[in-house]
Amino acid sequence: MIDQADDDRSDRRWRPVYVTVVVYTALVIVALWLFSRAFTF
Amino acid sequence: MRFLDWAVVVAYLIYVIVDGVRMTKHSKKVEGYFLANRSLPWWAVGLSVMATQLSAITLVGTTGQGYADGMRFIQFYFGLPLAMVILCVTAVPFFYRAKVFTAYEYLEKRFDAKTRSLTSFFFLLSRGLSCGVIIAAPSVILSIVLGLSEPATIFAMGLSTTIYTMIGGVQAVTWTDVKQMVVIFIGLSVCMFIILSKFPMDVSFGDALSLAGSTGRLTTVDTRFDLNETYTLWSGLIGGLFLMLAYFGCDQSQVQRYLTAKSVDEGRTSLLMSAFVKIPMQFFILLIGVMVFVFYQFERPPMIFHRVEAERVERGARGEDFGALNGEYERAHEARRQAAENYLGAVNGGGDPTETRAAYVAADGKFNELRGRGVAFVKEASGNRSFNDVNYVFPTFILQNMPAGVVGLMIAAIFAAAMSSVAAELNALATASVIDFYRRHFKPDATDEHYVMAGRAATGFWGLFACVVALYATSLGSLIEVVNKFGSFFYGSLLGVFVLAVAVPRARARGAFWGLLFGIVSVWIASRFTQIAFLWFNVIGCLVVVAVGYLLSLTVRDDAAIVQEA
Repeated sequence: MIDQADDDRSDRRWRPVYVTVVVYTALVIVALWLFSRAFTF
Repeated sequence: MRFLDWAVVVAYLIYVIVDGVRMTKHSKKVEGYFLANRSLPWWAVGLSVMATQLSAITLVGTTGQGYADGMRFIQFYFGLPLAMVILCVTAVPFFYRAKVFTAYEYLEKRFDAKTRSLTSFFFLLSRGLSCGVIIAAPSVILSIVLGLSEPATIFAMGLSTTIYTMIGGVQAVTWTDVKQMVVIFIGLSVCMFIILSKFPMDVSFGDALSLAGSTGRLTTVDTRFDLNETYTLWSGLIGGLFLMLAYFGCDQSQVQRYLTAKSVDEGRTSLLMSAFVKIPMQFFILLIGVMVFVFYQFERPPMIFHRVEAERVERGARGEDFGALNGEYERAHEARRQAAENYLGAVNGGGDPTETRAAYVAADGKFNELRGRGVAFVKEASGNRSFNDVNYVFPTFILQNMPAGVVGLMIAAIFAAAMSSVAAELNALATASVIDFYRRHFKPDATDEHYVMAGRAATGFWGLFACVVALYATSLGSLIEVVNKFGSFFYGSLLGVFVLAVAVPRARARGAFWGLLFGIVSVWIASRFTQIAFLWFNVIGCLVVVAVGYLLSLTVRDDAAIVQEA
C-alpha cells in the first residue's frame, strides 16, 4: 500500500513535466512552421 | 586524409577501446554486466539513449538529405516527444518495478513463456540483421572516401566495438556513448562553423537562408494528409509516434538503456532529455546539409559524389558521353552561381528580388535536372538500379574542404555514431540471448559469473555475425531502405503485444501470440501490395495485433487472474 501511494505521488509530481513536454512540442512545430513560411517565397 | 587526420582517428579508436575495457571491474556480476547495477545517472543514460538512436547512417544520410531534399525529414521526429511522455507513464515504471533484464521478460509475467520467446526471437532476428546493416552503411562510405577496402572498415568498426562491449558490458556501452556523443556534438559544431566561414565574404547567414528557402529546402512542415507521402506533419505525428513508442518501448537496445538508471525518476528524466533535445539536434544536422548546399552554390560540386562509381563510368565504354554531360553540368553550375549572386545583389540592394529569384530558381532547376541525368547515367552504365549517392555528399564535402585535424575529427564522429549504436545493439542482443533463451530454457541455475561469461560469448557471437552480415549487406543496394524495412516489419507488431499487455486487461496469451503473427503478416501484405509509406506500417502492425489479440482473447474461457503488474 505504501509503495502504491508513493508511486501515485511520484506520478502526480510528473504531470506538469509531461504537460510542459507536450506544450514544448507544439511550440517547436509552430516555430518550425513559421521558419518555413519566413523563407518560402 | 593527411597524417594529422589519421592520428586523430586512430587515437579516437584506441581511446574508446581502452576506456570501454576499463569498465570490466564493474561488470563481474550479472546485474552489473547487463544493467550496471541500476546505478547510472539520468544524463549519462539520456546521452546513451540519444547515441544509440543516432547511427552513422542517420548522421551522414540526414546531412545528405538536407543537401538534396531540404529539411522535410525533420517531421519524422515530431512524434518522439509525445512517445516519450507515454513511455514515462507506462513502460519505464512497468519495466523498472518488474525488476526485469529484458522487455520481453515482462511478457512472460503477463502472458506466457511462448509469447516472451516469440517476441524476443523477432527482436534477435530483426536487430541481428539490422546491426550488420548499421555497420555496413558507414563502412561502405568510409571505404570509398578513405580509399580502404570494405572488409577493413567493416572489421575496424565492428570488431573494435565488439571488444569493448564484450569485456565491459553495459557500463562500457553507456560511458563510451557519453564520450561519443561529445565527439559528435563537437564535430558537428566545428563543421557548421567552418562551412559558414567558407562562404564568400559578402554572403551572410541570412543570405544563405534566402538561397536555400528559394529552392524549397527550408520547408519543414507539410500539412497535407497523404498516406503515400513519407514525410508529412501527420505521418510524423501519428506514424512517428507509433514508431518511437515501439522503438523506445519494445526494442531491448533502448529499454536496456533506461533500465540502467538509478531510479524510475532518473529513467524518466533520461527519456525526457531526448524529448527536448532530439528535434533541435536533428534540425541542426539537417541545417548543416542545407549549408553544404549553399556552399556548393559558389564552389563546383562533383556531379556524382560516389567518386569510385563516377571514375568507373568515366573509364567505361560511354565515358565520352559522361564527360560531355559533366561539361554541361559545369556550365549549369556557373549559370546558377551567377543567378545566385544576382539574386543576393537584388535582396541586399533593397530592390525587388522577384525576377532575380525566379531566374535563380530556374537555374537551380536546370542544375538539378543535369545532376539527375548524371545519376540516371550511372544507374544505367553500372546496371545498379538503386544507385544513390546522397550518403556520399557529406563525407566528400568534409574530405575536400575541411582543414587537417578537422577531417579526422569528423571521421571520428562518424565512427562514434556507428559504434555507439552498434555497441548498444550488441549488448541488447547478448542480454536477450542469455536472459530470454539461455537462462530461461537451457541453464536456469548457473552462477552469476557463468552468465557474465555467457554474455561475453553472446556479444562476441553477435559481433562476428553482424560483421559477416555487413560483408553481404554491402551488395544489397540502398542500405537505409534495408534498415527501414527490417524495422518496420516488426516494430508496430511488437508494440501491439506490449499494448495488449499493459492496456488490455482481458488480453490472454493465445491472443497476444497469434495477434503478433497476424500483425507481421499484415505489415508484409501492406508493404507488398500497397504504396503506403513505411511510417504507417507501425500503425497498421500495432492496430492489427491489438484487434486480433483482443478478439482471440475473448475466445479463451479461463478465469485465471491476470497479473496486472509484476
